[in-house]
Amino acid sequence: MTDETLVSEKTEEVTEAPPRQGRPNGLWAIFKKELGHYFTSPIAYFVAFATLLLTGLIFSNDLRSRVLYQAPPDGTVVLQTLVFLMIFLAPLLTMRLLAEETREGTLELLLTMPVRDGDIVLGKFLGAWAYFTIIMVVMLVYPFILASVSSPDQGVIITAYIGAWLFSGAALAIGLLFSAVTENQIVAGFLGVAAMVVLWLAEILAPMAPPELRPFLREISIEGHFSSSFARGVIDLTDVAYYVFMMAGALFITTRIVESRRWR
Amino acid sequence: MGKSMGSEGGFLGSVDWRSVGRTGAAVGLALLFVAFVSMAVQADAPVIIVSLVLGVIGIALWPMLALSDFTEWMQGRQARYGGNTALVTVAFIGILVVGYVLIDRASLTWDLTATGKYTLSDESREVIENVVVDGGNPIHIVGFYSSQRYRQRENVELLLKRYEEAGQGLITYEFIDPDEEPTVANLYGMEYDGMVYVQRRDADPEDAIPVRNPDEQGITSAILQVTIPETFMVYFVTNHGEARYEQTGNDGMSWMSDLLGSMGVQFEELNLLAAPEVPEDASMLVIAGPRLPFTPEEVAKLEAYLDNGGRLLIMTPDPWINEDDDPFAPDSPLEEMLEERFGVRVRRDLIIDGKSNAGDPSWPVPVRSSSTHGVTRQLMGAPVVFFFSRSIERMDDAPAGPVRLGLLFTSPDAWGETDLEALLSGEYQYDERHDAREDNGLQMAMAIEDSTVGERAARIVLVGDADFATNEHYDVVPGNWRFILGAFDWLTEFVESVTLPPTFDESEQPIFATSQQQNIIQWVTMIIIPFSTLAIGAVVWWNRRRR
Repeated sequence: MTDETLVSEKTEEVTEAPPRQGRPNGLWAIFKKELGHYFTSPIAYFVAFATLLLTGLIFSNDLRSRVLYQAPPDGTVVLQTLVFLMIFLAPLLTMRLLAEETREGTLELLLTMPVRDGDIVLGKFLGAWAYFTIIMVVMLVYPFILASVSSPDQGVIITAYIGAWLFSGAALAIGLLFSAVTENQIVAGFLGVAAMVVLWLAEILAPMAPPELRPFLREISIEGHFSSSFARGVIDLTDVAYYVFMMAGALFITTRIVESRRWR
Repeated sequence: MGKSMGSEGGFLGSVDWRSVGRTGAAVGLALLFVAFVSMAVQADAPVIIVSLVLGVIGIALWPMLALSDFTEWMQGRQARYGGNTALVTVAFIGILVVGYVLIDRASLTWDLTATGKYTLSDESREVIENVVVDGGNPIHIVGFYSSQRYRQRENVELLLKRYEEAGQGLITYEFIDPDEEPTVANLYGMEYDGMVYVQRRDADPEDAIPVRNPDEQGITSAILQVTIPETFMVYFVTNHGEARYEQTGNDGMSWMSDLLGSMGVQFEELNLLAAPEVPEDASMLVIAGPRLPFTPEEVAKLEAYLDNGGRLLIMTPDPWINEDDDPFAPDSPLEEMLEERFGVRVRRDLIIDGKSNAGDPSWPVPVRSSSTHGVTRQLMGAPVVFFFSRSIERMDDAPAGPVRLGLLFTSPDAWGETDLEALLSGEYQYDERHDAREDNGLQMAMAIEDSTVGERAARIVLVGDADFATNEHYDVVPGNWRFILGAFDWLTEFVESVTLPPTFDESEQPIFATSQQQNIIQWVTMIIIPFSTLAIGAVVWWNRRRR
């Protein structure tokens, strides 16, 4: 048997797909584990505390100034702040998800279990997204408070929440991708923030770019797809597709990166 | 390591051709990516071609400079699986991009705003339908937005897309960056960044109608102006201390010219003493709270105008003027004309309505309005608040001919207080000998139509107050401006065609919260919610530590 044949056989052995019957349970088990981890980790509570404190501060101050200047209510102020915070929150929440597993060697262990690579990635992503969704559910208190002292446009609030939720999903998926790239959490977090900043600034930089590049930069702007429709009370299927496809693309690439550990 | 150019001696022999080849391939791939992006954004052809050619050369360098290394890498499992992964990934991303482009072209949106801010109203659809039916006069809309105003442009585009969809190819739009095309901006006479122009597609730019506030009302009205070549002239009568349409302070009525002026309605002042007659092009006259009497000559000109089917909006001042100066005092020429010709009398009183919920009995709020009349139909139940209003009497011994219809009524408890000094001292009460009171409530506004004289019917809207229509009060409640627009509409008969009633958006009403409420909200949002989360986290951490 030649060396080449040996290598080939070994590869086939390693890359063999895990049994399918484990799939739903595997995904569910990883999702539960990740979500549970957030609820037992003091850092996750601290992130929630910082987010709620900051958004609470902005909501309260905005309300006071609007009362003072007799301005109408704006139910999207908090959510616009939240999507900006996601530049930092998403990498913070996702940087450890795969990087830590890689560094501690537990990812190798996971890969030997009857769970698909995609389920590992998806389970971790859904866990992070569910955690963030819970924070957003707590933040629903703001529109209720606003409605008690004014008549905000409920339609705008609903679309803004849907938009911010989709935005957070896309941001978390991007964060997770960089967590798969490196085993160093700090590097993963830094890369995630850098990617988010680039996507955020794309629209702001567009006017300075050559005219041919401007439409492209605007299309990739992660913030533009929120502020141009969701924050105005409109659901544009293009913007929904942007966030969903961004999630799908990032998770697909993440899965391929995790999968590459089998043959690298 | 296989055979490579590095096997030669001298300087070339010291070069690591494998590294050079691999670097060349990496740069080549990057350049291919640049070429792909350039194609996607339709960049200049030289950019695409140069990056494409250099990319291919870069990749070709690897097999050329280090063939064995290249072959070895290609046959290795990393290349095989890496290639597969890259191919699958590129294919997947490609599918997503194609899907995104298709969805973007479908342009599917749902407007969830309370007032349907980004959905065309029935009135706009009717206007667009006329453009479509007409067919021969396609409309083109041009928006001037620089790169810095991209957000505002997006906002307008949300709306313009609806026009384009409804226009079935007969309404198109484009955006022009005035910084990049200043000549075009100059042709349109662009006043500022963020202006929109509506024109017939084949018309010259200078004939385009400017839309300074590019919302649905502004755009639809501009389309109407383009399709209906009529001009509307409104004259404000002056010389008696009236409010003026150019006056921007609290007592002025500049909001009317601001709102209607952008829709093609033109405003002028009219001095009846100086003018030989009311100009022929007058669509209507406005007498806005005169505080000096009219001369018989002036009234004669008004009467002649009405005989020819003239249209008149009269808003009376509050009664705190010397009786000699009051243009509506008994025996004054204007009052005499109203009484003798049309059978209506403006009383020298002040309506006191204890049922008023505007905060003061002398700020009467009509409890009843005519729901079918053209003036009040647009109220749609919205409240109107008058400030120190006179009552209007429908005289029993009226001449035959004029049709007089009450528009706004007080509650039956209201009365017209005539003791003005008692009013100032606050010690007033209903006196049945002098003060008017009617079973169905006092009339605060009246519409009069007389078709007995000229070919065209004369129309008058007579209102017991002028303060409600000033800049200070027209928007305190939606009913105030709706009533005025309704009056313009009914009097001119064509304002309806250029004016969409502004939508009442409850969410635009200011927030009202007491200091106590604000403090509670601050406590809940800044202390209770975040620190409860922190406390739960601390308990979890403590419990885990104890275990």
